[in-house]
Amino acid sequence: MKFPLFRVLKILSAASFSFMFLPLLMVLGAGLGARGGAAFWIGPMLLLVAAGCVGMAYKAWLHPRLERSCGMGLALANITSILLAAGCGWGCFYLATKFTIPEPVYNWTGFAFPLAAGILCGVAFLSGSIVFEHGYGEILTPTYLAVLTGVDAVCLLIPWIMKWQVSAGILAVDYLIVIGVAAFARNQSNIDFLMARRKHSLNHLPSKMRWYSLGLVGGCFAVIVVGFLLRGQLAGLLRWCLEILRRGLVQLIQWLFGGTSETEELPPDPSAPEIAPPDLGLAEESGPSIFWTIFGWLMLLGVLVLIFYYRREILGGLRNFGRKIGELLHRLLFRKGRMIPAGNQEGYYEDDIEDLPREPAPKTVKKHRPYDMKNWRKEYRLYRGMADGEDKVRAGYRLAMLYLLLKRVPLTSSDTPTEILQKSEKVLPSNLFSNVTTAYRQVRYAEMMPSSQQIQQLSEMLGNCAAGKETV
Amino acid sequence: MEVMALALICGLAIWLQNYIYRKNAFRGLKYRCYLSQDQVFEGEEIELIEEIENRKWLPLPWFKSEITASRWLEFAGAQSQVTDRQRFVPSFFMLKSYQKVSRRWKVKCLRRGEYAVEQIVLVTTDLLGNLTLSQGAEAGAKVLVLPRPLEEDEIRVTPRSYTGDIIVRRSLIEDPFSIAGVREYSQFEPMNRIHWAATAREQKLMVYNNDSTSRQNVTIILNMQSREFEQFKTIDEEVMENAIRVCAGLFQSTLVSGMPLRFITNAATDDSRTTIATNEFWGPEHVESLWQLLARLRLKSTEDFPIFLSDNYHSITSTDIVIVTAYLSERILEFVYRKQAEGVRLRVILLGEPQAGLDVSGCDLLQLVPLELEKEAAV
Repeated sequence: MKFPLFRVLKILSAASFSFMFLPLLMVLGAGLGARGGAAFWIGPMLLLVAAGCVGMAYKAWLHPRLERSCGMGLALANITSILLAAGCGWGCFYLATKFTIPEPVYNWTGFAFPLAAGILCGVAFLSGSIVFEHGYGEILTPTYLAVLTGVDAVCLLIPWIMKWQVSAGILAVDYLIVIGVAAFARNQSNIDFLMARRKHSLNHLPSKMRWYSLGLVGGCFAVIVVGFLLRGQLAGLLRWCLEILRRGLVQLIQWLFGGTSETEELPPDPSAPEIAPPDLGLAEESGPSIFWTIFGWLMLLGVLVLIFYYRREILGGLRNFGRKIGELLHRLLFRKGRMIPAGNQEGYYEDDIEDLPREPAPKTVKKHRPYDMKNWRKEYRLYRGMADGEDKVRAGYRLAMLYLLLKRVPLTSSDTPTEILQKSEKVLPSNLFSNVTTAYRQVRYAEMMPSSQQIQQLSEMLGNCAAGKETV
Repeated sequence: MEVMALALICGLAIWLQNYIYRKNAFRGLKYRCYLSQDQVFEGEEIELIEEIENRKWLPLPWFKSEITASRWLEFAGAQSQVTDRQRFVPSFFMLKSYQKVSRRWKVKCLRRGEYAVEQIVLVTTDLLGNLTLSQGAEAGAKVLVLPRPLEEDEIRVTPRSYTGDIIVRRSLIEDPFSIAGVREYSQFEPMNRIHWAATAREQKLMVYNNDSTSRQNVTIILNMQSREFEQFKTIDEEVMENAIRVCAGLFQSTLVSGMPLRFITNAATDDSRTTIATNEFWGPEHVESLWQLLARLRLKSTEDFPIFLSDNYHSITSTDIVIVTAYLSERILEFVYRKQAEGVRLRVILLGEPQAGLDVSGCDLLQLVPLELEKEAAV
């Protein structure tokens, strides 16, 4: 039998809608003197939900029948049913308060509180019958959640100002239930919306897709619930970690500054155990020393320098460690890769589902920066440091070629020095570069020593290029 | 305060899942779409394969790929939406972390042509529907659908060719390599033509009976005009599709005899106004290339057929000619009679009825009516 997921979500959403009236009832109750604990408010909460559910049932079953038989009297029947729900609510609350509210406030509270509760039950009944006509995704909307948060905030603020005692725990539970149901409904209605937007049939969805999606939301919600239930323990753990960290820092500062730190002036924590001072091999009575202070600073500086110098290795090591932990967890938690054949109901396609190995992410290759003027200037500085001679001319000519390429002159490997000279007319001064080309030819092909004037001309030309001056 | 803290935590959780999905939904995701074959015959079934890999921890519970393909690639049945020219197919996936899904769609190629998967859009969402992300994927899977040769059971042949004696061309010189059998010696044959084994068996002189052979080749001419006064775009598309299938069948028939084949038509494979005239060749590769050509033909005539015939009159030098046309006119018949007068064997395959009053008595005419068209006409 197929599980009626949508129907269940709709009933849960419509039932959760009534939770909005609980904080109102709690404030009214607190104002009227009904100031019970969390256990006291479970009954009213359930009664409000029951009123909402009865409203739904009325809309689902009774209303269509009344519509057929009563005709014009339908409005009267509706009003009667709401009044009946309010009356039932009043009756239940009257009986409940009779046994739970203390005798001194019984007279006034015993009448007014059930009356207010009865009215809210009638409202819950009405809202239940109204929201039942909507789709399950349209009941607990973000607007509703915002209103609920606002109502909760106001209902906590008023008792705080008036110094009334209100059980906030039951409100938190109420809020958590609404959030959970809203998350499930929204998750499923989102799938419906995405399918309906392009008029896709819901039959085309892969099998178990809804349950998987629901499971993911359920997992996230479970984490929040567990966090909420263990909030005290988690807060304690966090406090303990922070305390340890604080003590460690105090110890470090004391060790570095030889006990002259301002932190010493902090009042001692009576609950904290005694922590033995670090044994540095010094006599206790020796006191703070300028030598150890400087040594401590140098040590810290050295550690920081080492961390910075080996930062890549440290990061890589940490990453590898994390990866190995991940692989270990994966081996423990997941099955190995397998192939599952699947398909859709109509038989239009067949699926092969395969688990992939958790391969490490491909290593990012550091991209080399393209050759630019910065690199060229670096090479030019090296050139300037070279001794005069053949090598300097050849290196200088090479730099001139690179400069031309940076200026997007279309040089090819087959170009002769004459062709390069012709191509460089618009970039380099032709008279200087002509002399440089002659010097290069003599050095390269005639094995002649360059003159100092030629080297000077070459350096002058390259210097202009490096300075970014208009060379032509 | 607990309620407010709870509201804050829930809000933070919603924002966090939103942020994680926005930043990482398409990270580590690899999508590929391809077809199992790149060439197939009309009506055959192939596979369209979608491969999607989710190489990350984040699961994608709802993932959709929207495939836009030609409407003549039939797949996904009711799941697809068909327009005038295109077919949109949504494909839904549920991707868990580190999971690969390979989906195989059965695709039926309905009509000849060159088709491709034109566009693919990938869509996903977060858990609570606050976010819908989409991204284009690389499309371009192509298939060439060859025309299916028209089979005998698909057509009704109306004999319109003349009956009686048929002139058989015979060469004066016999082919010494083609032996038809043995016959009795007639005192005129040279000694090297005597078949000694048959002589011994028959106890009288027997000689080889050589066959008369000659080099034969065929030119198939397709008229892309479906009507006489039609310009450019073909009006009767179904008729011309059948004409193309007839041509495909004729190409196939030459495979058995190994006859050199040439194909010319007043149509093009692109939007240009050129005509097509292939080289003369034989063999399976040549026939396959001609089928590919037919697959790419546009249903648009680039030149008036009688003019096209007269322009190519001297370039058509084959011993056999087959004209596949949807209509016959006096100017076409003029070409036919002139070629017949030159001793060329010419056959006209007509898809439809000849014009009233047109004298086709001297023409070797074969009238084909594909049964599908006949059924449509009856309806």
